[in-house]
Amino acid sequence: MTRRNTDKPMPAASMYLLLALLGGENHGYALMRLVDEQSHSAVRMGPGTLYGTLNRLLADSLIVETTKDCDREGNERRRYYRLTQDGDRVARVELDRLRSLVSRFRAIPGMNGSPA
Amino acid sequence: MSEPRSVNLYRHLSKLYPRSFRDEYGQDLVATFTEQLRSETSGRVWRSTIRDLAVTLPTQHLEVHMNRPSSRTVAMIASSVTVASLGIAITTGTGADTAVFLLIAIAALVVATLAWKAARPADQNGSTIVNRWRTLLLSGVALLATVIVVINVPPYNDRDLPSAGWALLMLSLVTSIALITVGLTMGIARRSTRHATTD
Repeated sequence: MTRRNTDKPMPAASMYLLLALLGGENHGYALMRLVDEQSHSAVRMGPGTLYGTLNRLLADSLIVETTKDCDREGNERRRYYRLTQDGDRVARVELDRLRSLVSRFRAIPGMNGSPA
Repeated sequence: MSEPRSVNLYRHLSKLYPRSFRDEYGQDLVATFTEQLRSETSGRVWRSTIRDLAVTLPTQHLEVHMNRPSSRTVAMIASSVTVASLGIAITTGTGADTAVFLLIAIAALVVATLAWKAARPADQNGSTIVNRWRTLLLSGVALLATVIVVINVPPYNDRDLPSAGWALLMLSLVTSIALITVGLTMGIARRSTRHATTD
């Protein structure tokens, strides 16, 4: 298992996927849509980025696969993912980091829409 | 482009991913692409997919390459040590030194076998060099037999060969030993992996 250094910001795709999973377990395509919505289409993942990132998050034990038998066309199995305890902690640390970044920038005169 | 054609083309393109990634996520990649096509225009999906492929294909290959070498490197090094130790043991003749080098060769052979075995799951389905152990072994035996025949057949058996001839013979001898050792190591590794999977 690879331990993530939480002092460093994580790659955008990983961060968005972890944040998307804070809302509960979900499957790949739904996560892709969620990231697209959350980022106002600034982060548009393709299937390769999606599963490559999920694969790395799995390897880092930040998420686990909770595959369920779901009726897709042809009764294919659909993989669901959820955050592990470690993943949940990392996602919240990341969220706090972003919040504090925004609040620090807002404290700078002129950065909150008000004149300096 | 119609949906089935697009899906078919993407299925072919997804084969460019490394085998391990494809085996794990191949169906999901195509399924996700198909779902994208159902909710967005084909042009938009293809634009983002081409960008995605351009970035993720080299990344995935690099990741596989970076994860693979550890056991392969150990296997290659241990095989080389086996060959070198055997070569030294043969050239030193008899005595304590030979015994030491033979022991080193045996130990390195065991390590090489285990390392080849560990390296195998990454490319279990592929036609790899590990699958060619018989060819290596037979080539080694054939080369060794040729060397033995050559040095025992007149006029080469009177040990008056020119230095270039001896160098060629020695090179052939070392190569044959190397081929036999590597072939045997891979063969043992392959057999033990097979036994492990059938158990």
